[in-house]
Amino acid sequence: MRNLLHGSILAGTAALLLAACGGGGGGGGNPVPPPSPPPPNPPANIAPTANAGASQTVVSGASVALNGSLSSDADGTIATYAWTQSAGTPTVTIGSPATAQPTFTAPTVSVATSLTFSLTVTDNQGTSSTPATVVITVNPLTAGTVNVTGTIRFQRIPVTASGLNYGAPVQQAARGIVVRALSSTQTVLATAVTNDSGGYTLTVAANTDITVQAVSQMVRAAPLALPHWDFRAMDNDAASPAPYTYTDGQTFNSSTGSPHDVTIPSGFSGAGAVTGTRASAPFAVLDTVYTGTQTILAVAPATDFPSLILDWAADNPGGETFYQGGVITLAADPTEDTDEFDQHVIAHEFGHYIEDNFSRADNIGGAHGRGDKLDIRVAFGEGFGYAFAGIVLNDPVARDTFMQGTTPVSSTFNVETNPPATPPLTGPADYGCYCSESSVWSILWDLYDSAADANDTLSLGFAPLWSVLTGEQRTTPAMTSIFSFISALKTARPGDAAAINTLLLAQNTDNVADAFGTGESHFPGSVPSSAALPLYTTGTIGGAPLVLFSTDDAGTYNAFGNRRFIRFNVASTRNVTISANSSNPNSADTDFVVYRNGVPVVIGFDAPPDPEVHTFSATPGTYIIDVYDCANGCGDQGTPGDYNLTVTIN
Amino acid sequence: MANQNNQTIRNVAGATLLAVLLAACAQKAPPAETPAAPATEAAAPAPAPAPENTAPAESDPAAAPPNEPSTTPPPAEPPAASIGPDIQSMKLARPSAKISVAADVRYLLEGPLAPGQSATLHLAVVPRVAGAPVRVSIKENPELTISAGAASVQKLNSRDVYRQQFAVTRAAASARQIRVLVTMDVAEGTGFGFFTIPLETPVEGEPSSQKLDSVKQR
Repeated sequence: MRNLLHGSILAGTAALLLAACGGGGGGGGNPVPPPSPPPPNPPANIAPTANAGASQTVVSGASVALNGSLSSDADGTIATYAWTQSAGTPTVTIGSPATAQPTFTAPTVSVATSLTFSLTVTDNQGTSSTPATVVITVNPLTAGTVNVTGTIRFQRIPVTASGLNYGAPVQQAARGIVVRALSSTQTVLATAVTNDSGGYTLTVAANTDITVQAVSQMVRAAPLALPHWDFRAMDNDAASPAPYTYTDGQTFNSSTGSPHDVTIPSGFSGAGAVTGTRASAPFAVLDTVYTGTQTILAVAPATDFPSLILDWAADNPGGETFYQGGVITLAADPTEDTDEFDQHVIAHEFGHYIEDNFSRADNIGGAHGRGDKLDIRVAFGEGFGYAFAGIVLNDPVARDTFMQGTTPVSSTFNVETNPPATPPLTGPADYGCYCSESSVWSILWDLYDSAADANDTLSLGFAPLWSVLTGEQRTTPAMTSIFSFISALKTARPGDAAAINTLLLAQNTDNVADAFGTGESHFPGSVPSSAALPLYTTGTIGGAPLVLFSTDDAGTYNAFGNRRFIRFNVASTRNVTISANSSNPNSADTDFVVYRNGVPVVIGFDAPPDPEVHTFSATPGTYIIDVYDCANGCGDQGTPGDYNLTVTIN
Repeated sequence: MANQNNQTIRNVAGATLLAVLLAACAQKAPPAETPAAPATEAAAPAPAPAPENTAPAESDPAAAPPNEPSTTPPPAEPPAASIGPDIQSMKLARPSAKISVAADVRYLLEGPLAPGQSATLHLAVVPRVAGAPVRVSIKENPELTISAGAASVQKLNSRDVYRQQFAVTRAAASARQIRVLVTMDVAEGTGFGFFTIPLETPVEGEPSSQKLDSVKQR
């Protein structure tokens, strides 16, 4: 290292940019262009799919919301909805039957009664679906009971390009949350779940004084049919963690008859000062998760979601938002960074939860920022998270608000924006790479969205992406990356392979021959080719030692070039011994992890001295060794640099 | 196919300038459900990219947080400008968990910072990508008095390392950390990251938490 300046600023150096040439035909070609092929016939319109929502059981007098919002169209949008009652008596009056979520009042019945409703949707090209039906079971009110109805709403602080706009809070329906009726002694008299409009119906004894309490929990469980979920927003560090509750200040008689609405306040003044309990925060967090859940249910209606804790507490520090092991922890310091209203951030973390539970996430985590050239596992996981957030929210513009001193600010990026193929003339060097999270999110978004751009002619929607995520991506012997994902997608959709290749090439990625990226020829300019390629070195049991180059040129711990992958096959069950050391002269600490289908089977984290040696019993299959010098691959340890890693497999 | 990027000489020119700013930032609000004090003045607006060899913007080193306890010794004089210690000898500040800026923050505290004592803090922001204008501010903490020294920029592997020294006085034992905000201009706005400099000495022999979590951490 050499100090070029002492006590002064270097404003810049001369710029020289040799732009990479694109395309360019070979010499000696025919000067007369060949005739253009006839335009292909437009593909036949695919009929939309109606989804009439999950069955419900209600009591007489309840306000019932039907839900057709999970209807979908693979090659367009839903233009109209048409609900009718197709079976059961009495016939009810459906309010707004041409909307996605109409309502009706459950009729008064003396015995349990099933009412069947039919939904037909029509897409933007005029093609109608086959009808879908849903059964609503209406139970009679128990003698002496009444239905208390109302709507639960919460205050949301809107996110703008200039940060959180505390001066313009909005009220939103608290969807799918638990609601309780409490007695004067705080005994729970009845429990219900709000519908998609925030509406609730609590059946309680007539002429009883009650208060209404909202609970920051979304739950749907047996004996109801799938889907099931249990999502709780709570302080996970509390002595006895439990969902937050917001109890309405009014006590009223259950026989009053008029709807009882509740609004959960934000606790912020218009100037952004905390003036009370930040009660709406956990409900805002849950509502984004609710939206994410709908995205999954649209492609997998019978999903059984593993439980999820949304760890939000007013004393959570700023910046500390992450997913780990079934818990999403959210930043909550309004003087630095609070995330309860940052829907893309929450949806991103929910994407990690989805990837972890329904697909496979080999992402090793660690610090990352725009322009970083990352370990391909990290690039895919983080890129998927923000593409998923855009899909969930139907908005490619991601915003993450924070405070710069006393000024609200938004960090903004658009997952529709494709990083350039070459470093830009000014600004940070965020350019295309399979090792860039921004390349990954732009590829995934382009696969999904219906808007065409220069390299994007695809409009697959979410279903094919979900199919790959829950299929081959979950079982790939390679590490999860854009290579494993695209390889599986191309296998599933060979007709789209050429268009997919175009997307990839614009991000400096070859055609993806397989899940290992075999034959990949690109590498980022900040990392030497010897530390980048091949992405997986093929090893052989009993073969010659492999020498791999590792560098810290793009950073440490999770940067591209820190860790190197070796793949080897085991033909029959046997013991395998792996030995690794580094050329690092400063107390080298070479570590490695051996994976089988993403599951670590050996964790070689021994302290120095090298070599790191481990023997394990291997069953037939493909194994991956993730090897690194800890100076490059462990973060703040040792002296990062350029080292040769020598690995033997016996 | 050849690597297009490898054939490109990175443009590190022109508008690479940045300003290292010490902000007299907001008083940290109590974490509980109490009204927060209104934040005081923030970091100055980002200066336009400066031409070569211009001085960086500096904050007012005399700016002190209000309500400073009378028992707190006066802040030490901001140290004179210098490049400071070798980058590799400086510790990594802990980055925030979510998407941040493509930069490492390194620091060196000269001596233990016991309550009532002052020490010089050397801070370096090391971008991991070229051409990324960054700004730095330290969040005000009533339990710490921080005065800014001179800022400088050092060239390291074609990237601009932003360095600044601070005089830090720890007014109370309860002050556990220094929070550093780094913002980086990106294509569509501003990226940000909060970094933590612990004031407590780590327990000897404790393995790196990052290493422990390295198999499955997101």
